[in-house]
Amino acid sequence: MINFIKYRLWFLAFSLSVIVLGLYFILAHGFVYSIDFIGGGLIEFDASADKSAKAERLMEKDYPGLDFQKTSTGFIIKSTSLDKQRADKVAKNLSQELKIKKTRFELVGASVSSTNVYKIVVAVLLAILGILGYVAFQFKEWRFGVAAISALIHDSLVLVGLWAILGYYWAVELDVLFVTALLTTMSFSVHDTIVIFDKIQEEEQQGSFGRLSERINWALNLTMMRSLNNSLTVVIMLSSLIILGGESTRAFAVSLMIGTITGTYSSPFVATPIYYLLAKKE
Amino acid sequence: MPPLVINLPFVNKPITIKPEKIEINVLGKKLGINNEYKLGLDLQGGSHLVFLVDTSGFKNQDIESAVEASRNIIEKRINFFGVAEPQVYLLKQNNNYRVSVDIPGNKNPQQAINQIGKTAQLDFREYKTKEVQQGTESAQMAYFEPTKLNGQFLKKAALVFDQQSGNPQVSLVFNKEGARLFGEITKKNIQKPLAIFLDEQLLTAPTVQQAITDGKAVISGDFTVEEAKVLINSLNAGALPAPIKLIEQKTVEATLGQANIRQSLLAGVFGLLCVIMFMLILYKKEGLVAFISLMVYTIISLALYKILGIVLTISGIAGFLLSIGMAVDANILIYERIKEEQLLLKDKQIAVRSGFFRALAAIKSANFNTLLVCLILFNPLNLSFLPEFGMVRGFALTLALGVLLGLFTGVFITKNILWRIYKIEK
Repeated sequence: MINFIKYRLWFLAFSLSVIVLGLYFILAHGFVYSIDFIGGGLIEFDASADKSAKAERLMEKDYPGLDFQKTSTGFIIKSTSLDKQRADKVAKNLSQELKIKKTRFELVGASVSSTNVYKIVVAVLLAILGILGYVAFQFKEWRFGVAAISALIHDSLVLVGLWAILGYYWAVELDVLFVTALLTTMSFSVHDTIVIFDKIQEEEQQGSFGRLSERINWALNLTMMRSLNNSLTVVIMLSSLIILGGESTRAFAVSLMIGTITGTYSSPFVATPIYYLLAKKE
Repeated sequence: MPPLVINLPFVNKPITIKPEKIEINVLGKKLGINNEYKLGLDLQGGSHLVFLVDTSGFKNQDIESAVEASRNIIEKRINFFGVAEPQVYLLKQNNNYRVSVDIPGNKNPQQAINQIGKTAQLDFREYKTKEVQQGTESAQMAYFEPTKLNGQFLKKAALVFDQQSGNPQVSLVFNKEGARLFGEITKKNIQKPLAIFLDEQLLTAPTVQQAITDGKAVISGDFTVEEAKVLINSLNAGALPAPIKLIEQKTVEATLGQANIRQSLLAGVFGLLCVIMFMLILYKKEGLVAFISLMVYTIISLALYKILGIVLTISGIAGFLLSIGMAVDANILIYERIKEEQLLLKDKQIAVRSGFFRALAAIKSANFNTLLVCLILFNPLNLSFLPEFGMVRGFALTLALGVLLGLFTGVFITKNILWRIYKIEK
C-alpha cells in the first residue's frame, strides 16, 4: 500500500511549482489570443510547399507585419491588423499571383471580441459555483466541496499556465475552443475526485479505520486503478485525435489532454491532501 | 455522407451499408431519418457572417422592432439569393444588437455580403425608346432608364382595396423628398409606363394617369391578394430600417471541410479500436461486455445525430470522440468496484451484485458535473451573459448526449449482460 498522506506536502509543493511557472509565463509573456478575442483577420490557403515558400517571401516583401504560418496543407496568414479591405486585397493578390485557392477566410471585429471575454469569465464562475454547490450538497460536508474546488482551481491554473508556455514557445493560440476545454477540464477534475471522496465517506461510515490518514490511504489505494483506467481511455481517444485528427482540432485535443492528465493527478494528490489538512484538525 | 463500404477479410466482397430514408410518425410529427448527416459550416463549407445593427438613430421603444425588422429583411434577402437553408439569428448583448447569418455551401460570400448589406434595392425607371441601327434597317427599341427615385424615399407600402371593384392594390407613401421626385417624374411621363424595379428585376410597370404631387401612389394591377402581399413585402423589405455593418466573417471552403471529416473519422475509428483493445486486455470477459455496450453506444449515438437532426461540427465530432473515451467510465467503475467487493466476499454472484450497486452513486455524481458544464456551454436559453458560439455548442451538445447515453449503455446494458452471465436473479 502506498502511503499518500505521508508525502502530501511534496505533492502540493510540486503542484505549486508548476502553477507558479505557468503564472510567471502568463504575467511575463501573456497569451497568444485568437482573433475571436482580439479581433483581426485570418486567411488560409491550400498550397504546395513550393508555393507556400514563395508566398512567404511575397508576404515579407509586400505586407510585412502579418503572421505567416505553414501548415501541412498550405499556409495561414493572420494578424490583428487585417481588416476587411486589407484581407480582401491580400487574398486576391496571393491567389492571382500564385494560382492558389483560399480555403478559410475569417474576420472578427473588435466589438465582438470584447464581449466574448466577458461571457467566458461569467461561464467559468458559474461552473465553479455550480460544482461547489453540488459537491457540498452531495456529500453533506463543506470540506469535500472546498477540497474538490481547490483541485478544480489547481487544474484550471495548470492548464492556463501551460497554455501560456505553449503559446510562448509554439505560438499556440488561446481561442474559444480552449475555453471549452477549460470548462470540460473542470468537470473532469471533479469526476475522479468524487469517486475518491465517495470511498472516503464510505470508510468513515463503516468505521473500519480509526485514523483519518489510514482511511484516506486505503481509499486512495483502492480507487487508484479505476481513476487511472478511466483517464487512460480518454487519453487514448484524445491521442488518436491529436495524431490523426487534423490541424483544426489538434490544439483543442491537446488542451483536453492536459486537462485530463492534471484532472487525474489532482484528485489524489491535491484534493485529497487538502481535505486531509481541513479535516485532521478535528 | 457516402455509403459505408466495408471490405471484410475472407469474404472478398465489399459490403455496402446505405440506409434509406425512413420516416416515423411520432405524435403527429414526422421524424425523418435519412442517410444524410447535417453538417456544420466548418465541415460542409460555407460562410458565417455577423452584422452589427446600428440603433443609434432610434428611440428606445422603437429599437426592438427596428432590429427585428432588420433581421427579417436580412433573411428575406438571403432567401432571395437562393441558397439552401440559411440560418439567421438575432443576438443581443446589452444595447448591442447583432444579426448572425449562416450560409451553408456558399460559393461567393462577397456577393452575399453585398446582397445583405444593400440599403435600398427598389427603384423607379422611366420608359424610353431609342433608335437601333443594324445594317440598313433601324428599329425602335424600348428600355428603362433609372431615375433618382428609389426605395430610400419610400416611407411605406401597404395593401389597399379598390373602392369600386374591390381588387387588391398596393399603396405607396413617399417621404417629402420622394414626393417631390415622384411629382417631377410623373409629370414628365403622363400616359407612359413607369417601371418599378426590385434588385434589377422588373416588378411592375403601371401607366401614369396624371402627375402625382402628394407623394402617394397606388399600384393597381391584376394581382391576387397573395401577390399583392408578396409585392408589399418586397417593397417594405427594400430598405433596411437601421444601417448594418459587417463585423465578423468566417468562410470555410468545402474542400477543407471534407478533409476535416476524413481526419476526424479516421481518428474516431482508430481511437475506438484502441479503447476496445484496452478494455479487453484489462478486463477479459467483462471487457467483452464493455465492448458490446460501447458498440451499442456508438451506433445509438450516430443514429441519434440523424434522428434529432444534430448539426455536426468539428468540435462536435471532438466531443463525440471524447464521449467514447468517457462512455466506458461506468464500466470501469463497476468492474473495479466488483474487484474490490471480491476481496471481501468469496461469492462472485454477490460481489457482482453489490459492486454494481455501490458503484452507481459515484457514477451518478461524477457525471452530473459534466452535464452541468455542458449546460453552461450549450446555453439552451440563449442567456445573453453566456457564450453563444456555435463551435462551443456543438461540442457541449454531443458531449452531453454522450454522457447521458453512456450512462444508459454503461449501466443499463452492462447490468443486464452481467446479470445474465452470472445468473443473478432480478
